[in-house]
Amino acid sequence: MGEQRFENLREALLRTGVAGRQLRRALVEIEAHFRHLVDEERAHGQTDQEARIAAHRRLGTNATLVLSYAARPELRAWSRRWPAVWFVILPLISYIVISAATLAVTLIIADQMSPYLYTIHLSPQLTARIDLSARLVLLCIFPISVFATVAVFAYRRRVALRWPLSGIALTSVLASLINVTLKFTGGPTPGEIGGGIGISPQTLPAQLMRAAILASLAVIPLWIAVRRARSYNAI
Amino acid sequence: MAPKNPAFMVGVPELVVLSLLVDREMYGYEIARAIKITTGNALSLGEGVLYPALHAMESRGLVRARSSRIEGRVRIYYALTPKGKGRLTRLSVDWQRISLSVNSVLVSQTHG
Repeated sequence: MGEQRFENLREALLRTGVAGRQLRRALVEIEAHFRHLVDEERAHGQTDQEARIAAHRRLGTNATLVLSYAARPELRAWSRRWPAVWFVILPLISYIVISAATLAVTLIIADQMSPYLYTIHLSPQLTARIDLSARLVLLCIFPISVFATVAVFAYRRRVALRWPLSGIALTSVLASLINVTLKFTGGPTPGEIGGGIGISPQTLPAQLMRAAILASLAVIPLWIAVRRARSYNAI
Repeated sequence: MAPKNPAFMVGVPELVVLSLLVDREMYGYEIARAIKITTGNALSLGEGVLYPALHAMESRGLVRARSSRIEGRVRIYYALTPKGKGRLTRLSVDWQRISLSVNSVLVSQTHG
């Protein structure tokens, strides 16, 4: 009975937004306190069952404990104090930074390898594959990785779904507006890296479609996380 | 049954806990027992409620915590910080002032 109560308390405190460190401390201390109370009641001649019931009563209900934590905003996780920052703005910035850093590293490597690149010649098929891979990584894998991280974090912090969904939608739109070209050919003009962001009436339907596909793919990790949370609650 | 901890008791647990930590560091169960004994069970609150109060005081720098394992059980000991001592002094002065004021009203009512 005691263990289930503390599991329930953990879940309730998570949903209240209590910071991870405070949460772990609270559970350790409250469980230890409970065991002290059981020992004390036993020492007064109570049976095991009576001692546990008395200890639970003296500890107070989970609802009282949760209310007491909820009344103290300083004990709440930063991600619950500013969910828009953590689940909407940060994923967007992370995606931009990761993409920019990858392009910068690619440029540096290409610059270092330039004497070698002049001496080789890549087939058009290989050049096209490299370009496609670069687009796939920058415009699909990176945003989905960011979304997966957001989903896991949102699940762990039990935040309202609207925050990660907003972050996913916004980052999907951004990713769909970006265009990247990475052409390594070798030879006298060994390659070029190009990128841009923009919108036009001609490309808008395709871009919206890209955003919708990306957001749909991104919702998968979130959906898995939500299912896990629900199955946990059903226990 | 009349409630044991009416609304004007808000803030009192903080004062009591800080007072108890003046002489030595204590862990949660020890603090709860000390409150029970020294107040004659007048401050009846769910003992678990002590922990959010302690954690909030720690986050405000009024107490500091250290962990210790004794007989297989983790104990988190709390000690008063200089900031906590200052807070205790202010709270004590406030409490004395309010207590004196309320007492004087009660005395005047009794004799009036």
